[in-house]
Amino acid sequence: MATSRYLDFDVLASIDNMELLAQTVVEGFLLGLHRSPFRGFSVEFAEYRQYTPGDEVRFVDWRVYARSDRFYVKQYEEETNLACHLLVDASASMGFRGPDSPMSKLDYASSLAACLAYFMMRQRDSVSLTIFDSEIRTSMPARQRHSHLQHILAALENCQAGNVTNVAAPMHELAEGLKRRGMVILISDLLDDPAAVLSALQHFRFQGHDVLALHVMDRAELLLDYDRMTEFVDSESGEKLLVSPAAVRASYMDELQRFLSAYEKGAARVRVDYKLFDTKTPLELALSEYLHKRSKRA
Amino acid sequence: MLAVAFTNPLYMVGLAGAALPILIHLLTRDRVQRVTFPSLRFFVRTARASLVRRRFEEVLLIALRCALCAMLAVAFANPLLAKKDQAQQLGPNSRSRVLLVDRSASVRRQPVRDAWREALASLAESVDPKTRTAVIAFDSGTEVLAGFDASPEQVRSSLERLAPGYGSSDLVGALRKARDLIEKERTATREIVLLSDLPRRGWERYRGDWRLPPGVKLTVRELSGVSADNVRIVETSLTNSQAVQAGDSRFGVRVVNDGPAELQDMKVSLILGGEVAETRAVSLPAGGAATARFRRKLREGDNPGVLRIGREDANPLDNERYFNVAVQPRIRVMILNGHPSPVARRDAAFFVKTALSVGEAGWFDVRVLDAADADAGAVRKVDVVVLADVTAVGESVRRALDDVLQRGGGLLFLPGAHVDGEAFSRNFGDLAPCGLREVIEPTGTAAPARLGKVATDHAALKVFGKPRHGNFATIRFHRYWEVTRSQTARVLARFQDGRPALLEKRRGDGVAMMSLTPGDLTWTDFPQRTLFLPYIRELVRYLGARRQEQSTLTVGQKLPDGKVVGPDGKELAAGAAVAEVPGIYRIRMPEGGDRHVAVNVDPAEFDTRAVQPEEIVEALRPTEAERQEARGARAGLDHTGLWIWILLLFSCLTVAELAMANRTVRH
Repeated sequence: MATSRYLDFDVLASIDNMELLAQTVVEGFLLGLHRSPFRGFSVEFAEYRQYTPGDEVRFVDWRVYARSDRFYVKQYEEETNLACHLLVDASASMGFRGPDSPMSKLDYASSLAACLAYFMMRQRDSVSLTIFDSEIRTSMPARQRHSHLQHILAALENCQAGNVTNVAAPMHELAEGLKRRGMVILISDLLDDPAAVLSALQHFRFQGHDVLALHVMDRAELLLDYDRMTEFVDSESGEKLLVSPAAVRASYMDELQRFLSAYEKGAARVRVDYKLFDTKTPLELALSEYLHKRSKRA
Repeated sequence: MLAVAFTNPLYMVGLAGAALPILIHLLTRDRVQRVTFPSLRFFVRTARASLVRRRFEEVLLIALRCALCAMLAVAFANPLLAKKDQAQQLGPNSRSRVLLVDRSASVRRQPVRDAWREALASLAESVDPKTRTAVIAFDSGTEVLAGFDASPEQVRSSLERLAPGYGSSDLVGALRKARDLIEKERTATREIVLLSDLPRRGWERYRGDWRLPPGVKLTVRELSGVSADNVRIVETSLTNSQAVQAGDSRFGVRVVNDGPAELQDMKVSLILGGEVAETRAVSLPAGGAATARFRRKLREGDNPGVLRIGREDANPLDNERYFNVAVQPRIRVMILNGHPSPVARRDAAFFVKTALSVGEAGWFDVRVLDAADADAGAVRKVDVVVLADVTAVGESVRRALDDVLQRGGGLLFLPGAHVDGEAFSRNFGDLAPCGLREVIEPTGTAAPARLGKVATDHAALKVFGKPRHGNFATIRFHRYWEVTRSQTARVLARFQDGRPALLEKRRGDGVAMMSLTPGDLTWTDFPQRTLFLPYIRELVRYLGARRQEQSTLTVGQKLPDGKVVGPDGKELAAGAAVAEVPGIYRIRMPEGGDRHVAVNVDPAEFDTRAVQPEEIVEALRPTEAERQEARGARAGLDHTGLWIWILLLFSCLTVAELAMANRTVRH
């Protein structure tokens, strides 16, 4: 089912060009939508259409009915002036790629951001991009021009894993700089103090932004599917630890669940949409999340 | 201290196999992979503890496997856990030695005596301070003169003080004593040195039922040598007998010339009361023998004396033989005839009277009475009463019979066909050894009955125990009485069917005996047999004179109770009741009066036949099975028990290994 509905990751992983990848994903995604329910819910009026059974009654224009004694429903153009801010974590931990994963977490996050940016541009939203690790490394203001999209995609394509993770500090800094309300999409492995990260997300909420946190983790991280004795090296601190994965798996999973649960519950508390992605989750799902969030905002 | 020994120590090479699990572990262990991981934050709480535990488990598992492999090797080596024995404590050069010295009369003879002296001196010189030495002297008994803890000076002193005695040589008992002594020693080298002339008679008692412990060496220093000039007394008669008052006593002495030259007119004397009573001259061919006979009327009472060869030679001990002839009055016998018959073969008393009356100088003063005419007064005057086919007697006679028993006399019951068993039992009651139940008449293949077992160890029947001294099995019994109430009696002879044929019971100081067949020919042909005469005479003599003690002993035998004056005229110390030197001993009896006991050296000591040293060494050499068993025994361990412990430990470790391996693999 996944292969029929979603694009094969092996195929995506073989596409070097970020624009082409985004285009492929987005076009495929749109093709699968058919009669998109989101299209008719835009705020800008487009035209009338004669009512046919099955249309929602709330969209019937009663004034036209009063004038013409015929039922017409209103159709709208989609909103185009939404500012969408993509925050991509490029810390060292994002460079991890599990043994069976098609791409690293950073590659996945970049692809995700690219698809979202491409899709947003098609929706005529303005898109900004911020790449950070312990500090903001790249920041692009929200624009709607096609050339801006090219810059964003280029930045994502050249993005490399950097320093230690410090999600909270750059986000607070960014939250202070965003004056116009919009949508903030954080793409990160969130390997930071959950309280600090949630505080930063809450900061965006206080600024009036809708916030969507896309938590990217590798399947190897989620399952710890290693068999042999393994010396794990912390990608950020360089600390080494020799363990038997089988021996520690249970306690590891407990700790991980506690960590994910902290984010999940914390996000609900601060009214942030939270979604966990592993690097094999279809990119289209991120677009769906975005559209869902977009529709709620409308 | 504990020590470990191994039956198959070569298997200990297998201990190298204990390294196999380590080798396999090193060859097959997981290669550690290195993974750069986003964060170790999810490991921190448990990873280090897990790693330490896993490493501990791995080490423990390998150790377990090594232990299992090592245990297999150890098990095959058959470990023997034991108290570290004295040998190991004292060192490999430790040595124990028992000097077993023969001091019997046989070593007194020349040239053995000189060799014995030289050997003792040699042994004394060889006493080594580093060797634990014990000295045992033996003849018929053994005496430990110095134990293993004795100093060399004490050992030498005990050897120097040794002198040959007059006892007989008990080689077997002495070797057994030495074995018992050295068996407890745990030195590396253990040895028994036997110094003896190895008389064959002293070795004949060995039955092969024991051997020396493995690791004990037996060294025999034989004292050989027979003098070419020796004449000895080999046999005498009447030296241990009681004679009757009437008639002369006959003495016979057989003399052997061991020398190569003929001896003419060699004097042999009979000495009575310290004076030469008679002297006979005998001629002895080279290697030949001759008998000197004496005839002498002895006085009533003890007649101690000696038969002596009037010639000095290499062994003066075998030139004389002491004796004591106790002369007694005749035994007064009364035969109560319960069924007199004019036909001799049916007369109950005829054959008994005839048997007791035979001989010129009769032992017995026999009187026959009809049982119905028995007089209590007459009965009380006799020593022995024979009740031939008598069912009952009057009460006064019955009491008189009891008096005879109480004062040490004897009754001999010979119930026959005319006895009423029930009346007999009722009338004689406790006087008879048993009651009479019924007459048994064997039929078929059991007829006629014959005697099965005769107690020839009994004093009355001892004479029949010698070879060709009477065959009771040929006597035929067509009928006999079955006894009842015989629990307190001793059975001296039985028929082949197991029923008693002759019984004895003590009453007072006397003895009552009962033969279950009569003294006539109505039920048996026994009175017609030649065996009947000595049989009746020995029974009656036993009943009438059994109180006489043995008047001739050999050196080493126990002397009668009382004050003892030795052959040298000196009173022996109280408690020294064993005759140590030959000669005439005077015993002052507790009840008054003196009696004499003649003590001789055991004639077997003059037998110069010797056993070969190799025969003794080979006979006492432990068997291979004993040697194998001794390996374990010497180590002091329970072979099977150790195997059980090894098996249990191996099983436990195997289970632990399986459990731990399973757990480690899962992790």
